[in-house]
Amino acid sequence: MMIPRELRLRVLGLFLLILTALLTAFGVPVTSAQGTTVRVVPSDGTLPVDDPWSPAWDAIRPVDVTLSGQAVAPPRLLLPNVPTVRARAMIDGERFAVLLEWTDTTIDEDVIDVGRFADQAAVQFALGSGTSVCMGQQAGALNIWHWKADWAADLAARKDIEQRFPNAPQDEHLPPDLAEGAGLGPDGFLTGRAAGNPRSALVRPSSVEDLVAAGFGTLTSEPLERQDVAGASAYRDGIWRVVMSRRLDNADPNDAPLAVGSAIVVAFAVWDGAKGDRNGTKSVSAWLSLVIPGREMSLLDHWPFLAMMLVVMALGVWLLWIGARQPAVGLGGPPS
Amino acid sequence: MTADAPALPALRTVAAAPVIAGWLLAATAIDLFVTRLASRMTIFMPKDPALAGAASAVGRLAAFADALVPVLAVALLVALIAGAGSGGLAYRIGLAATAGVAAAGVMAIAVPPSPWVGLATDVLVMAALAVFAGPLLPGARRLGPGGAAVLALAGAAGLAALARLVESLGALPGGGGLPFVETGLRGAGEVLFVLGAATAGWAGLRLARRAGIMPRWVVGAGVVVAALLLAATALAPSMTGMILTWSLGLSGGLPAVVYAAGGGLAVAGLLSLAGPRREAAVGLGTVLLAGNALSASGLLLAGLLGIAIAARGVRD
Repeated sequence: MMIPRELRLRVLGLFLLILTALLTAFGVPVTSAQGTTVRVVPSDGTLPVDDPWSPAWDAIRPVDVTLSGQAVAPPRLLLPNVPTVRARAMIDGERFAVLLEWTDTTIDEDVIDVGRFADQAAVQFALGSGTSVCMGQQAGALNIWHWKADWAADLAARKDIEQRFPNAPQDEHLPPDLAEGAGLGPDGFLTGRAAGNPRSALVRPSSVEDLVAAGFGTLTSEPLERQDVAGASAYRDGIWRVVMSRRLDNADPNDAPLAVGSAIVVAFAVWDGAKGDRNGTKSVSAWLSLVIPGREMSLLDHWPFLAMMLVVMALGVWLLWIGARQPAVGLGGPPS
Repeated sequence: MTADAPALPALRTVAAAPVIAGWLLAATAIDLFVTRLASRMTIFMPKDPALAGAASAVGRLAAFADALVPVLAVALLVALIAGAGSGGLAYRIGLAATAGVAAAGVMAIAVPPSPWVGLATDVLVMAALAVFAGPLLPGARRLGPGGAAVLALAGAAGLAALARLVESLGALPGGGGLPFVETGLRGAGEVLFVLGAATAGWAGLRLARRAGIMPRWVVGAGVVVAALLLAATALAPSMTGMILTWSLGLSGGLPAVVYAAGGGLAVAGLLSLAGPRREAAVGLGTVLLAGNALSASGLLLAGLLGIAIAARGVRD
């Protein structure tokens, strides 16, 4: 008995819907993306984590990443103050390092005044799938490495209000003994420092803050003992270069999983302090892929890929041979 | 087919191809409005328990739509291959190349693609586009705006593939960088994509006017879309640009009136085209809904199949 065409199509449609529902329910990915990719290059020698202008960095082809103004959440930036950032990345088996480079006409590393803002750069890594490029979301958090020019300057020689306004009365720093007398400890009247705000800390481990976010308003600095991202920066001829690096093996679930032979989704952001960039007022990229290959690969190393493509094309040719022996009308449907 | 070669009964999948093509068009539309728009807009919702539940539901629906597009695209590809028949050797080679693109997309889920694989995939994409749309070139004048639309959209997809290919070449060991070439190719591709949308709409409206079957609601729908795009750009230019980028892969760099004209014409024209030239409307609609130069493998495959269907649709 011939099954009516309409019924066959309905069964086919139902099968495809159930298949899709099962793939979705079990979290089986069926889509990949070939977007802009930053490929991590194995280092020939010592990883130049402390020298942003090392010739080893220049030997790597940079990826030019277009930035746009952060126009989603207030405070917004409609047009980017930094239109592009160049990215390079390296590993040496133990450490991963990413170099960001952008043009900036001024060095802004002194924020000890109202209305002065620092140059900054950040890399955000998606922790799992289903996250948002806009500070993550509940379904997927982000790990953010945030370099700040003022923190880098503080590492060399910390500045405070005394250096900027040497003749100002020191009435904001109340005597520690007064605070201790009130049972508040030596930082009792320095509320930021007393609360453990890393921005107020006298000493910081790095110029890069290691953060986690899972949506707007959730940006959180990781505890001091888990601040494990190192930074190095240098400004030369109107160009900032910033290296951020971390050990590859890291069991912290809030840190980006950087394993050899893996890929992770990343995005970049840059702030130009002289133009008033701060907080959400920044130039941002879309998502990119960061691929960490096990080693330098040649064409033959991708034999599974190539074999799969050849098998599929051979299957296609076989089906085409079958198809060539039958009439076709339009899309291949029967004559109406 | 020669006279002494008896015609074999059609494979069962063959008859399903036009229907699956319609399903793919619908799935691509759902993907655009749910996955690429609604789910991304939920990041602005306050996350109190009630709204967080709604946002989560939209996310699940978006994940389903995201999976439905590649599943239907593969089903359509199999049906098209099985029914290729007298489609010509070049067309059949194009389908085989498209199968290679589909395989690369699936494999890239498990293994991070290298520049070599990216290069091979984009060569296959350009080969498929060339054999699907290339035969339209000699008769482009006779085919009118419908043929021009397919050529423009195939050109846009080809330039996007070329930009990725240049990027892959630069990433090969010892490869040099020409980043501004990539940006230029993507910009030119976007212009062609918007031109293709407008031309597809013009083709549909011209056909409907000649046949004397142009319902007012169709024109109204196009006007509403164009007015909405213009109003959104005037009221919130940055947000509109962001949404265009997220959803359709357009940079927002062209004047708003160009996007509005393209969107309005495409909506009115493709709705007009749906009756008299269903295949062309389904193919062109799929390409436009899949977006410009988006990197998701399912949308890339849907766009390629849309070009294949539209190219046949405007010729038949």
